Amino acid sequence: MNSIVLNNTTIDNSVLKSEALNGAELHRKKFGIGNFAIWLLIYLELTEFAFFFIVFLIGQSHYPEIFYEGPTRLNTMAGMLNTLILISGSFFVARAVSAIKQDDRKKTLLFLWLTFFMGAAYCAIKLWEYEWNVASGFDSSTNYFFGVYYYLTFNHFVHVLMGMSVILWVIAGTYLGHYSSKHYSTLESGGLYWHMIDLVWIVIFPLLYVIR
Amino acid sequence: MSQARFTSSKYLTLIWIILIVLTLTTAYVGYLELSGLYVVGFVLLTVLVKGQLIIDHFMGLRNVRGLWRHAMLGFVIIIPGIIFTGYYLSSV
Repeated sequence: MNSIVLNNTTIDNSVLKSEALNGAELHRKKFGIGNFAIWLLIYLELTEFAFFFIVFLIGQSHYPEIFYEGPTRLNTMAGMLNTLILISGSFFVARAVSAIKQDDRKKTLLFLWLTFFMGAAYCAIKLWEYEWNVASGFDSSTNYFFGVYYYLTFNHFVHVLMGMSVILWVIAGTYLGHYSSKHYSTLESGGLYWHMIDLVWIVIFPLLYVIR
Repeated sequence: MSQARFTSSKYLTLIWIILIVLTLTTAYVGYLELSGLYVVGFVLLTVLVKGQLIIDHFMGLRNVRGLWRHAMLGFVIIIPGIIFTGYYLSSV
């Protein structure tokens, strides 16, 4: 059946489908993307990190010399590599969401796995960096700067592990065929969580490693 | 399927390249061990631009109205703003 009759008017199915898509677009524009729960979680996480940044600034105002010297003691290369890795992870997860919207499950899986490996690479570099710090004679008890550095970066590290778990979850869902161009809210929400982790890091990187 | 329903891969790739260039620029500033209020302002400006690109293009909030987008943009505007204010106050 390619059309329906409504009030003596024949409407083609393709028109109805197009109108339904426009309605979905309108809904997205008005109410946003992902689901409410993930947005609540994202805003709570961002608020938590905002408080950490304020703690950093309080420390900076009390110990300006320590915080001026702090970034020069850190491994800028490790910080830069992790920034590039997280940005790439964000890019891959955006490509995965774009692929599922086109019903391309193979590409979706490829980009989700790439995102997961970016998370693993981040963790490997971060652990190496912690070892490098210890070998250079710096740990969380060195001074207030390093105390905040470890607290902030380890907290973010835990969030990356959580993000990797979320990505694994949506990878499993994609393998099981749970997502399609019409039903991808969970996959999109997982992607949003990953972007939140990236957003926090793009503030952490200059704050800890660059500005003095 | 409407083309507007997904962002093209070329467009996402362009945003990715811009983000990489901005990150390398910030890292270079760190490598040179530059300091001062102008440097802080410049680096925080790159944070704002990177955040806006991620929020609007990777998260796909560019055409979303209301709270969702504004709250996210608020994070990358207010937090660098607070950081800059903190550094400004400690420099005067």
